Amino acid sequence: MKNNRLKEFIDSNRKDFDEIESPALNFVWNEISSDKKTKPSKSNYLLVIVALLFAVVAVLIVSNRQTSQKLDRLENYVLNSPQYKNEHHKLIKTVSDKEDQIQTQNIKEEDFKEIFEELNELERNHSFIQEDFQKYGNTDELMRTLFKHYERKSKILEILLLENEKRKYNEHINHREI
Amino acid sequence: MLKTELKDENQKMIQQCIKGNSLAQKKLYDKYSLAMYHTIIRMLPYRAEAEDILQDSFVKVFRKIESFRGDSTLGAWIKTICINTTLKHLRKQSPIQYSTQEDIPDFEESPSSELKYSVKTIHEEMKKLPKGSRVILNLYLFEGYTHKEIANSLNISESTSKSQYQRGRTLLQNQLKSLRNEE
Repeated sequence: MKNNRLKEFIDSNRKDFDEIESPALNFVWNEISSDKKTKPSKSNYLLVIVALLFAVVAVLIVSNRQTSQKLDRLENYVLNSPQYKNEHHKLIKTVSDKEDQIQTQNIKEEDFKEIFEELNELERNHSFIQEDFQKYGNTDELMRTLFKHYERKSKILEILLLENEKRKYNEHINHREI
Repeated sequence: MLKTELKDENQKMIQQCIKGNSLAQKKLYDKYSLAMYHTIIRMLPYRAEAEDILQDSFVKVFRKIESFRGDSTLGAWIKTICINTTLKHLRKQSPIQYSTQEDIPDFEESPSSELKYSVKTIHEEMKKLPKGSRVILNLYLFEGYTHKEIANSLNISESTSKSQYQRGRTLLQNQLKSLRNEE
């Protein structure tokens, strides 16, 4: 049987492997609590059914306008600020469209390591913004930071798409030369 | 604390969660969320996405907790939900690609070789593996799945699971080797 030192290493350091990152657990908990997705008490079933009916109607109404609710959990904050709503919606749509393009083109992370590292860094910053929203609410300054985040993400995704085009073109040329 | 006491404490917590007691739900979340987050992030290497899946998983945990029968430990039951939610998310993103192994030379560990890398290095390098190998490597090495169980979970053959595991290990070892060469 093959000697598996990697497995041994993981087993003996398992606790460290399970604690190495510091996610925004409080933020996630607040999302879970405010989600109202958790199981209600039995006495509230009727209310839940009514609420669900309303939710279905609401989903049908907004589904055309909704691009990617999952993309940004800060949506609720922004909806409380009508002056930012349109801009926010536009930026999310731009980012979401580009991400869709990237997915359909089957771009591999290992081919564009630097760009993906930058995107990861951006995601880390996004988590900090989320934490700040939690602490300070939807201040103008945080809104602008959030918008800058989306603008930057959009630019990086654009670069990724262009680089991929370039790569495909070069592969095509090389193939022809061969 | 004795095992029976722990079991009783868990039972009380579960009963309270079933009743929708948010303090008990928070207690359960505090107890398991960090480890569950790491289970997810090892398969889905982007933090914001992993946090989303953690959120979805715990929402499912609280919804389904009534169905927990105690056949496994509570932690193992929660972990299964987290893993299944992650796999479902990965499948939705794009089909998991299982590439062929031919292009990668096999890397054998010598019996005397030692792992001279930190937990952080291995954690980060594993996150860089291609999706297919990364998921299989994690399920096998961290979650103790057998290749048969992996094959069932991912709807692939057992031999694909084995070859992807080997491929992932080789890629990881090559990545670690090149890191060492850079030093």
